[in-house]
Amino acid sequence: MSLALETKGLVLQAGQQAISDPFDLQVPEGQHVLVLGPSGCGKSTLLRTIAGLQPPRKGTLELFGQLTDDGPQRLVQPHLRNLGFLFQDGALWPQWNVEKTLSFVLKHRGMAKSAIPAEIARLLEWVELEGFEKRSTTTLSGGEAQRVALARALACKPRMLLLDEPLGPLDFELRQGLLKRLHRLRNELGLTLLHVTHDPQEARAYADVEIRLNHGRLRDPKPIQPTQTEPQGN
Amino acid sequence: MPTHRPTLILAVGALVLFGLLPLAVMAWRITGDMGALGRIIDGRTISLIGRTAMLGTGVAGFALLVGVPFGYMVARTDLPGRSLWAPLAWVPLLLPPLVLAMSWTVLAPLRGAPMTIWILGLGHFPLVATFVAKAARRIDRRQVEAARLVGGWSAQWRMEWPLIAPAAVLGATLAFVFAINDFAVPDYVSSVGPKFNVYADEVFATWQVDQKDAEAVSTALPLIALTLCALTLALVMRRRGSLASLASGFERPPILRLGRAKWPALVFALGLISVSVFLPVGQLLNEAGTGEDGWSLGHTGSAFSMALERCRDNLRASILLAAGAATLAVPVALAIGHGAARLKRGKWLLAACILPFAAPAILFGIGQISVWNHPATQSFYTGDGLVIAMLLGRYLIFPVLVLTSAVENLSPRLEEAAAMVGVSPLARLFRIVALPILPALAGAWTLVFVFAMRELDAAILVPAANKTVMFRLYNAVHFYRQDYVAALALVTLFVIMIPGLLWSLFARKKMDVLS
Repeated sequence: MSLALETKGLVLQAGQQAISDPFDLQVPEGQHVLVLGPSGCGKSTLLRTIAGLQPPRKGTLELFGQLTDDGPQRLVQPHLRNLGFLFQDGALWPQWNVEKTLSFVLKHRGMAKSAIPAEIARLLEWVELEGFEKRSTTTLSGGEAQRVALARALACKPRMLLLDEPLGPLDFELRQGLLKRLHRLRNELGLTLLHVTHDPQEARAYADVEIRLNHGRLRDPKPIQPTQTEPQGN
Repeated sequence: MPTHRPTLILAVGALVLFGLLPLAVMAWRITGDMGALGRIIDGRTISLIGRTAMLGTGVAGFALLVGVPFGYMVARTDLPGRSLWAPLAWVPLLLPPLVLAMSWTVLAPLRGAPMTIWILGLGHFPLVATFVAKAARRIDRRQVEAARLVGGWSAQWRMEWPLIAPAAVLGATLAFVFAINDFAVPDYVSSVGPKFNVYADEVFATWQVDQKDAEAVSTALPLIALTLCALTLALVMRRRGSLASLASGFERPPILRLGRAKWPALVFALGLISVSVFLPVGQLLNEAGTGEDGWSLGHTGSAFSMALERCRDNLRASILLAAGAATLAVPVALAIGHGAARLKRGKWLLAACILPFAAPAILFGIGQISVWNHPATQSFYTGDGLVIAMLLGRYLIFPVLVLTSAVENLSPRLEEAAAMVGVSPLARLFRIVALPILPALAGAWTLVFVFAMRELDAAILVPAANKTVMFRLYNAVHFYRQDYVAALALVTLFVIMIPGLLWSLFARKKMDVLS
């Protein structure tokens, strides 16, 4: 199986300071990987580094066989890495409605103007928000905002989704709904998911592997056993 | 959360008495002389409107052209020395436009409309730069990164611009309003070159000739309409700009690395601050120190001594009047700002505060005379009270806007928690609301102090304001411009800058942290 992500001797940094030991990591395409660890251990920094939003201190990073970072030198711009990023709270752009948000992305991705409305409808159908085109992004509930953020990420046609605690602010039912939706999309689109979470219990039901960051060390990926996969309610 | 009604009523009472009543009286006068309305459509008036609109548009355009890149670079890039540029960007706004005019009419041979636009543009671009910088700092890092993942720098800029644009337009609109109401600069530039008449001096001239209030009002009506349109746009833009307000869990946006563009950007910033601050101040220093045998430190010293000796009383009067107006304006603005932020129909309070600023300064001054120049109020009319009241009424909108914004950013839960434990509405206003927004209160005080110190356009008519340093400067540059006049301009500038720079260096940082 080909690799979605491969790091060699990668050292994460925050500001000018190294925050991890060198680590090697391989993520095969199509896997759902949970990234676990206590607050401040560098989970989000790992995702931001993979996305190219901040450089690593040392080591190399490859995405889908392409070298993207060689030490602090960035070789591939963030928007050219075939990634989608789901931020905590959605990080939706407050100045636009849902339709304008998605059309902004699609235009930037070079889609013909005539094809955009159909694509927006398809994206909203995926996240089950049909009819939300004209809603302002500032009036959406937490769950709706995260689903629009998911549609925005999917509009880039990513091969990998980076999920930075996107379920944190949602209640149990919404978390379950979004996890199921992500799982379905992963199967339909062949996505690789790298999923940072504080609460692994629910996500384990859908994930294949978990990795743990602790005190600057990345532990080897651990497959998730079927016995662990029973979702827990609140 | 309810407001403290007696406090709000008192504050609105001050606004009505010192801000709205003079305008209402002037509006009433026109009903007695409907023939005066005919002047609005004569050819001369229409050509004046055209010139004034051109001046305002030119100044707003100039302010946008330089203010947007300057504000964005200061806020969001690694421009060398950017922590220094941010407070320096305030200085041109602190400079009285007349002082800038004194310098630039010597520094460059340009005259007429281009020189007036240049001077007022330099004086007011900080409005755009400051609002743009503030808006650019309030965009969440994750929103920026989401855009960068979509389409790199171009997507980032296209995502950010709609959030920054309302702030830019708000700043440009205020620059437009200041420009079309400015009386001193067009008047002074006209006195040293070809005549460049605009509406503000026309209103003044009309009233000076025959003191017919109705004609002054009717002549001013198009200008008021123009100003009101611009200010309504400014208010709408302010509301749109609030989209970029800080949400919980806000993360500061990333700093853009300029790379090789760093040095041209530095040249631009240095050039802009040079032409708006260093060159004019340098010219005044040169003028103050130049005697028959050239420039000397001794001559500079004696010019400053003479300025202080001759104008000490004017300086003292200006400082006391401006400080009095600022000190009175802050609690009034806090009560109104709190009402505007918390009451359902509070935005009407903002609209009411705008009116005294929307009226031409000269007309506002005439209104004050009409209201207070009566035997029963003679002691108030001839005393400092009227000047303080006039400054309060005219500039109240600025502290009100600052404090409304500060209260809007403060969670209403704080007041609700206080109410639950029995804290009275008045105590909530001054203990729960005011204390966390102390830097904003300091900013509001500073704004009124600065504008009051710079004030000339309305004060020129009110007898009690004739002792201010700006009035003295105005007379001095017109009738006997000696070297001490440049020194006096510099001393005035120094006095105006002290609270502004203190606020910029200390309180503003705290405000950023709080917000």
